[in-house]
Amino acid sequence: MSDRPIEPMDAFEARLARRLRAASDHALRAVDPAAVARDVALAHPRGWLRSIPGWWLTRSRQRERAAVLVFATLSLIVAILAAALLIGSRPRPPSVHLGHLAYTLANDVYVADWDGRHAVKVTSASGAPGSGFDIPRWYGATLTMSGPDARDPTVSGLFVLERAGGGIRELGPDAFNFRFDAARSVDGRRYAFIAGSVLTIADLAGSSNVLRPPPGHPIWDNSDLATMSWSPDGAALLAGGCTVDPCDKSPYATHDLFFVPLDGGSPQPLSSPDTPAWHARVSPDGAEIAYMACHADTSATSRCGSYYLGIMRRDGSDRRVLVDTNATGRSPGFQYHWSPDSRQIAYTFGDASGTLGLWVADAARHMPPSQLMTGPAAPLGWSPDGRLILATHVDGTGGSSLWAVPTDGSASTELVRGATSGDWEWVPDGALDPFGEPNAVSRSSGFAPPSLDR
Amino acid sequence: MSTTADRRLAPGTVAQAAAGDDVAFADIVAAYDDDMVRIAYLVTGDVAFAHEAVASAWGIAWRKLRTLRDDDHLRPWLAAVTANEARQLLRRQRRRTIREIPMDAVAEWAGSGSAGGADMTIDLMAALLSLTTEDRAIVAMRYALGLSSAEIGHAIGLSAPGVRSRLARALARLKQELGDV
Repeated sequence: MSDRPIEPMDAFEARLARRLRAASDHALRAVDPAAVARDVALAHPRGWLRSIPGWWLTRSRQRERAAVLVFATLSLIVAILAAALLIGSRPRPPSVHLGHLAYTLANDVYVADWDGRHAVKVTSASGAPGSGFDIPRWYGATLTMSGPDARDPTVSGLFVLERAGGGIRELGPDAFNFRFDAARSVDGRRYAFIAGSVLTIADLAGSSNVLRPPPGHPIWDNSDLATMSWSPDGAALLAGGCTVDPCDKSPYATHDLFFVPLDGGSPQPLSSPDTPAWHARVSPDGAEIAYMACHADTSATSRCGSYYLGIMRRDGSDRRVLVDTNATGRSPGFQYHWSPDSRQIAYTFGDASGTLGLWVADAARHMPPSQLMTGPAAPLGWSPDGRLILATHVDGTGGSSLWAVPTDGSASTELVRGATSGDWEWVPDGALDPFGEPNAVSRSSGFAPPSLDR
Repeated sequence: MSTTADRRLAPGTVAQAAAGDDVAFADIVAAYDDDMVRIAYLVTGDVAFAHEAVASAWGIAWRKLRTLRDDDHLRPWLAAVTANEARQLLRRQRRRTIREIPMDAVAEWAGSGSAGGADMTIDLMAALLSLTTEDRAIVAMRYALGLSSAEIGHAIGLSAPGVRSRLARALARLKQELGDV
């Protein structure tokens, strides 16, 4: 501390100084300096830290700041964890027994309540040949799935889960290469599939009827482009087929749509001769048909220009483009499902740039399509009231999961993380439990052995 | 002009207090609380106001001690902060009500001195109250604390000649009020 100058005072100033000091003497107070210092420190915005037991906080403003930083960081972490927990435990719709969800998780098939709760691994039931099951599908109260054939595990067979204490059995004495999804009849009693260019209609009891293409008629193609759809009256199948032999599977230029009467009549073509089409589904009310197609392009090496999702009346008239992908040269991997009221179509949109998302479109095109999920997502089905879509979604890490996606745009609910495919079966009026007593909660009833693996 | 040193604090105390050491700050309070009370009292003329102003000034000092660049200026700086708080307090008080000097306060002044000094104290305080609060602060800093014109000027943002000029005017007024002290 340096010396400071002293200015001289005259006599008046000196007397004034003495009198001022004397006059102010009585105002002096006896204070506890430590108490004053503590009070002003505590009154500081960060002063509350000094009330925390611990000597180290009371000596440094830097430590105060460090403590604030640590506290803020910890608070942020706690908030993030709390938010994650909150999201994870977001209230779901009440677990009223409305139906079942069957799904594939790690090569096994599980059955749960419709919202994913109370899951039971059904492929641990008796008769299941190991694991490797996939594509669970409900046929009313009966669950089917593809799985390794008992005699030749290199091929897939169709398995049926018996209810009420039964096991899993493979359908039919003759194994067939059941590679793809089978088309369910509307009444859920029959299914149809194409294998080895033979169209087979079968029921879950094991009886089957084989339709071979008559000479001069389309050749059934067992690729995934040949997705079939039953007419609501169950009298015909809508199928894709090749018009030339051999089938030109890329870019599908030779595929057209046919209604195949199940009474043995001749297949009726639906596509325009110059517009290849495939992957068709009849609307639930039977009035319209959605289909994948490509714009005609005579300049291309095939008949195909860019791909689109189209709609036409059942008789093939009034064809219109619902969603145009502008993608050429490859299939955009379109997946779609009609809503129960036949008014909307949920679909995976993959455009030329590779952008993917789950969308829903108004079949009458009165409303523009709306996006419900971003990223790779595919619809698997609808709830009967049309308010929820069951969808798979692949996240950034490549992990797949099942989601209930509200069609009103509100937040989706993750049902089963890790599940790769699934199917909803809804109780018609919420009063019937297909696996047990009326109004009963499904839980593990009907399965042997019950195994709560989740 | 001779010089003297203010050695009330150990070296490094101000820096420690500025870094948040409340023990070091307590040393500063112990060293300068009396000076600040004198300044506040001579500006406000009221013991309670003076203590209130000093308490407020210590809070400001705790928050802004880091802005003090030279330890040598600590005492003038604290005096200036206190004087400013005292003036602010008076201003706020005047806004709330027109305050009369209470007879108790006069009795306080009167009772603080010797028998003959009571009247002199009353005269002194009355003469002080005839000055502006700014001039009272400068007079108190100069004569009650013995700060130089340069120190006062540095603390309140005036030049030393400017401080001396205001002091001269204030002294003339006081001489007029008090006669020959």
